[in-house]
Amino acid sequence: MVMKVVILAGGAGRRLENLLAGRPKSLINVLGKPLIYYTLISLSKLGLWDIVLVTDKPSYFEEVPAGIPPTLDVKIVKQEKPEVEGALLSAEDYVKNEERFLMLYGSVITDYEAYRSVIDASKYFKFNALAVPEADLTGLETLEIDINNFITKFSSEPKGYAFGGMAVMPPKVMELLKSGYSLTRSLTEISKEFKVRAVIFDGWWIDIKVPWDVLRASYYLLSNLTESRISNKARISPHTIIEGPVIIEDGAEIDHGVVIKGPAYIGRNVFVGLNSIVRNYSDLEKDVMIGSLNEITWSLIMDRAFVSRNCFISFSVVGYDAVLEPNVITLSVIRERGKVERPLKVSSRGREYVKLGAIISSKRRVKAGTILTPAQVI
Amino acid sequence: MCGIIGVVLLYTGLLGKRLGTVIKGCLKNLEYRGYDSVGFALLTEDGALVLRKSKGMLDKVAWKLGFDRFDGVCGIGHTRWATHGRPSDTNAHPHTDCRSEIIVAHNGIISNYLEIKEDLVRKGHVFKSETDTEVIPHLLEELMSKGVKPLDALRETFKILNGAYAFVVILRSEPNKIYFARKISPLIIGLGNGYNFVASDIPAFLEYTNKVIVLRDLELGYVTPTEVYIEHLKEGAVDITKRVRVIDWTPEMARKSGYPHFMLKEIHEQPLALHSTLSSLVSLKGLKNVIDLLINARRVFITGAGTSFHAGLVGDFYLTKLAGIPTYPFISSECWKYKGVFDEGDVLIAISQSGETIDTLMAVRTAKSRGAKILAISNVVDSIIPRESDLVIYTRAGPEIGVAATKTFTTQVLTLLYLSLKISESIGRNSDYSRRVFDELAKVPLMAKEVIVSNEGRVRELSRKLMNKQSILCLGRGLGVPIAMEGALKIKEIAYIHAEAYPAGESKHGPIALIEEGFPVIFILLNDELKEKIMSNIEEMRSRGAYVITLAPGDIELPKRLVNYEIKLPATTPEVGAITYILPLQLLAYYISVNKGYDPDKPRNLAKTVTVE
Repeated sequence: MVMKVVILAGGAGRRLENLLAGRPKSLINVLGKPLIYYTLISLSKLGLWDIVLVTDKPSYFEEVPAGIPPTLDVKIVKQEKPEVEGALLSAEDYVKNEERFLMLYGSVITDYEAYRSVIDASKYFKFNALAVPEADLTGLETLEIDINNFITKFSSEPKGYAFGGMAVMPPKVMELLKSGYSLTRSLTEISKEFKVRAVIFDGWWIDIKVPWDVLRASYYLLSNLTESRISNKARISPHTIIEGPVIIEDGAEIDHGVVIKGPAYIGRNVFVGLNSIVRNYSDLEKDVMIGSLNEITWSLIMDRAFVSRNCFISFSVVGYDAVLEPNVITLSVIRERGKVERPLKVSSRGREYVKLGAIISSKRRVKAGTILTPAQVI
Repeated sequence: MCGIIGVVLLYTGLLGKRLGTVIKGCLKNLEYRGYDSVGFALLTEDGALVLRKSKGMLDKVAWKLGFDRFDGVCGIGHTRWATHGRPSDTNAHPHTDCRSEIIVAHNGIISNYLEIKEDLVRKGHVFKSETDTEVIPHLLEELMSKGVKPLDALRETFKILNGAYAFVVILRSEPNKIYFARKISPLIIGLGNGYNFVASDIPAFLEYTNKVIVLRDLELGYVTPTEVYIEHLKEGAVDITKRVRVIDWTPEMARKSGYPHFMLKEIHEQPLALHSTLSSLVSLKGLKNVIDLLINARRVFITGAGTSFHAGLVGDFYLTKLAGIPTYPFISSECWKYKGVFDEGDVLIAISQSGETIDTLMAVRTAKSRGAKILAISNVVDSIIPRESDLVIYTRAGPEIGVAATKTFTTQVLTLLYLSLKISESIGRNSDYSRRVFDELAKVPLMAKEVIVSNEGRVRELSRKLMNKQSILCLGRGLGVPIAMEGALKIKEIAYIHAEAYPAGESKHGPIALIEEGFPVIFILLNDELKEKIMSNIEEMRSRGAYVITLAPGDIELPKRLVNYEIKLPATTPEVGAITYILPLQLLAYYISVNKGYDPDKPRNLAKTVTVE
């Protein structure tokens, strides 16, 4: 199927600002690859090679992430006007002569099947959009459908399905945007004029809106690990215990007495010191340093962060180049419901918990002995 | 239960792709009929044979078999659901005679195959498999070796073989012809321009033609690329011009159109299916006869199997409570109890989605032989049960491919409710209340949509909480009982969790002993006079630590301490509620199955239509 693709990878990512340190949201590394990589791979599998990527920070995208098939033709376009509406308009020249095009949110990370469903459906229905059944719709864009599963409305009200950030649309949407309509309003107008089919998707899907959505992404990607891959260029002490699937990349060094409970990811040149515990769904990105006697569970430690000694990091995100001095503790059990939007839900030994640790900003230095409360942003 | 396909072309490459690829596509659409083995046989114009078969699901073995590599002018394919002989490469169809001159694919059961096989073995035939099918090619070979012409040999074979079956035959000596025969098991001819199909069901070839002839019982014949010949075993040649029908389903309707599974597609199609069924009921000409039949009946029995039986239980409630006609619902395989009881003046309502369910068909025949009248409710036009019945109402759910029945249940229930309301109207019973239910009924398609849209996300979340449970208890009262039963059936059959339905009042007499901390109990709370009672059942369960999930009308406020997970449904009468309440339970079973990594369209050990006793 020949269809042009527009990826909207701009967006300030306001709620992730302190983590991003100016970098685009879709370049956050998860399992050693930027989020955008997972989208591009899915597109290439479907033969969608003609891609326009709109961003307000084009310089960051100059380097093509490793592993992207060279057949993909990705044109980087600088976003001229603000907001998602401005981003889409910047791609107008590329799609205005097309009959339809695939619009994607760069902040969405989902299973390949979601892309496949949309492309499959587009063989029968000219226009369509991805609909995801989500229980908690706060902060997400939504859509409602009629008796024939055609879309009646896009909005931000927590009703119906989450809009999956993926839609096959006519270029007319650009005209509506130019007349000053918001994107949801424009999409609603399009669905009134044309028939836009809802494609209901039953797999995992995340729109990265808040920092802990990244933890959800690493959770799903790690859950899909079916086997371990340990580089022969990693140095692993014979006294390390490794359980379950793990990926350990080139140059990583695991010291004596470390316990790694998979699924977990240990990136390039990461160091894990004496007797530390790395528990399931932990994602340590490249050049991270973990000193001795630390415990890390279901957390993302972003590139070059440093965790010194005796820290407990759970359900947390540690930003680029952050430094945790000794004895930093993150608490993570949230007792009052509804305090945080879309927190992480886990069940352990038959009991359910709502959890969220700390969000530690990039380049931040956390003083020794600090105790961070659940959902604290520092 | 198996799927068979045969296709014959005027010249190689007529359909624009290789014949192997065509057959693969057809078999994919027949997979719901069985999926433990697949195989195909192709003949080229000069009669060269390619025969390849294997155990395993089509997608997994397609590459190994190399469908796409072979071309020809005539071919048959088969997707198997084992009955005689375990699933294996040798038992996979097609089967051949001793010299591989005669190739056969078959669906159904030949009940007298053992004696025929013994006889043939004595005559020197060599059997390769454990199947009943293999007697067909050898029997044909035996007859043809004596100089009998193929069509006559087919007729003779047809007379000899007992059971319920359909089969297709190709001969290397006649590479432009497919012979076929049908006894009870379905077989359909698809008519194309320069090509013809024979298949077990319409979706198989819908991509290529929508002109069909549905073969009837005891018919046999052959197709060539330009000719169709059909004869009835007893009545002789058939005039086919009167039998051609045009199907208005598009091939797209028979496919998934973007849904990850047929089941989810079919759940989402329910509002539309309800709408179509309701409109067809409103304009149904024969409805007056149906109403008269039921009003004047001495006794009314209702039968069905599986989901259809649950629809029957709901129907029993409607007819008794709304129309004042007490009925006897029974599971069709348990029909023997009433064998000597059916009498003239009785009416049997036989419910079957496919119209082919063997147990229901047997119940119909038993009742009919004692003089009872039969009313069939079916989704497949012109299938066996409707044909053998005195009166028929068709549900308009469209083809249902997922093995777990979804839209056919809700449309069956809708049909029974409409019927009961019409009866109560014509006898002037409960007229005020009936009119209210009638008004609500008109809104049911939109209500169903609302239920799906507003609950799918929440149900999906609930499915994650329940996916690792060993058991689920479903409780209700009154109309809630058959809904609970149907919900439990869905959870069992596709999510592989043991689920049991019980009348809530009975829970004290046994099931409550199972309850421990975290044991999931789903309560069906309808807006009826029983809701107070059910509240005390909830209290009982919660105080023993059960994880309580309620399906309740949005206008009833349930105390937070009693409910762990609440699913709110539109406020409506309990009669209409029976249609809307099943939707979240279907979704729940679906999402548990998906979360556990199963394929909800193909539950293990199950077939869509059960044509064996």
